[in-house]
Amino acid sequence: MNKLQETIEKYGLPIADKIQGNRYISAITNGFSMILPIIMMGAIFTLLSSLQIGPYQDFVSATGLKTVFSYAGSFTTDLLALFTVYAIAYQFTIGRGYQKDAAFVAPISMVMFLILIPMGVSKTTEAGEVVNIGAALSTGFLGSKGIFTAILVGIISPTIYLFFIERKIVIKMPDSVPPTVAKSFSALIPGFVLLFIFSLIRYGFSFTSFGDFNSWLYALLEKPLAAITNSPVSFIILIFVCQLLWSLGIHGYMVIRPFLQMVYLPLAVDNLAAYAAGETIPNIICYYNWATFVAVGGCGGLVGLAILMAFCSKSQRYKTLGKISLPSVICNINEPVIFGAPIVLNPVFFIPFLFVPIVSFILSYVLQLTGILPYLSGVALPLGTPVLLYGWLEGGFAVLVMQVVIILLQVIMYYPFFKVADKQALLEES
Amino acid sequence: MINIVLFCAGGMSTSLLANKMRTAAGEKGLEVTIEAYPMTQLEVVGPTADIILLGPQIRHQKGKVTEAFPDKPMAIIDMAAYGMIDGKKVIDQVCSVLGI
Repeated sequence: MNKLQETIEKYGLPIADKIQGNRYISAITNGFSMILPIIMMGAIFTLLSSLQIGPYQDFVSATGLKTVFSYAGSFTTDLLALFTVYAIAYQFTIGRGYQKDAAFVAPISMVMFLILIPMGVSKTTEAGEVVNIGAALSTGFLGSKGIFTAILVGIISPTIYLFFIERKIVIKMPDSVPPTVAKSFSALIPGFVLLFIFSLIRYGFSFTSFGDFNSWLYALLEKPLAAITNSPVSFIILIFVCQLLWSLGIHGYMVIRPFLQMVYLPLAVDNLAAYAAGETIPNIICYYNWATFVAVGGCGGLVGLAILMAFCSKSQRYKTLGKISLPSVICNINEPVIFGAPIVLNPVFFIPFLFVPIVSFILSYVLQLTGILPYLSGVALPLGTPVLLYGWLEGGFAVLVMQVVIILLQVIMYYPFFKVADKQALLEES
Repeated sequence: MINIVLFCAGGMSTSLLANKMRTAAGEKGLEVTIEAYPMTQLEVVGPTADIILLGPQIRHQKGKVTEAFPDKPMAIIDMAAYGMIDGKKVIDQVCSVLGI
């Protein structure tokens, strides 16, 4: 066992570190964390306006509160790409060690993102007349459809900017000028070059059949991306990797989160927009399927195991751990069980730990496919939201019931393995 | 006053431990401040720390900490103590690292 652990420490940890320490991946992850409050605020207002409870709907409609609550969504989740580019550019600059420049790079990158979107919107009226409005910015690519452009610009724009800063190709001010003022002058040359480059890109794309950069990138990525997201297999692979890392004692979710966010967060935003508009929710799998169906009680689905420990233990050790860990797993914090049971490098719990989340996911996917369970509304909820409440807010009563079913499933699947571990612990105690 | 800074992925599970550690430190008569943060706050709160503790689940990020703060004492929290949210044991670990 010690030998195995040594091997993992030697080869496994550097790989996890490489993924997470990668400056591009960590900029994306940290950027998304930075805008999480915006996503959540928007989601809460969307819930307040769209929560499907009859008397509540009557109340908010009659008082006009529904309209008041509906404004927030248009300026939070619907403009998500705009905030994403700011946040990723900011985090990327900080990650490169240029804390003081981040305050300039982030807004400049936002300009680069905006410049790729042509002005003007056109609409066909009911009479079949095409109306063009020149002084308008289409919001089509400012939301979830623009996330990929936002990620690209959020990384490319700071890279070009820092190219100049690193080589000191900047306007220098005498020492008597306050540093903040001097910094804003040093932003001029790289800012100018950036604007020129991005203007050229926009100009270039206006000659293509796509018309603009976003339409091109979207057309390029739409098909391969749809192939990934429509298939449950990619989600299962992510679960598998996450569980494998956790069973080595590494925060697996933190390692796979960037991929989950990049691919499935835009889908959640689409779901939320449809939910707010009262339309059919488009995506069966989105970012929040993870917390709702896969990680009920944190990665590994540990509510069931904590219940077993708290109520069915013969050993003192597991009884104590059950009492300590039950409140935290209910809030999706799994570390006490992971390190307390322990699940880390423990062959006894390896099998259920790997398969409980996968089975829960497949079951929920099939039930969604057959229409028994609804597609999730994609409401962004804080990580510590207790299970059951989480399910209810994501998809109503049916999903709450599903979470109960999943917890029962966890209890059943962990039971035989828990018995073995409990017996061992009891032997050690006597 | 010793400033102990704990890091984990989201700053949640370490915050459970931080509470227990405060109690344990109080019983021991140690004057400490203990706060838990997500790893993303490393650059922000790291400079004021007297000792940095990492949750075992992010021990692969140790390199990042030693690179950013090569002279600061740091330790990976003992797995068993972390699991049982055993504040006393972790305070003992801090004491042995700092040599007090």
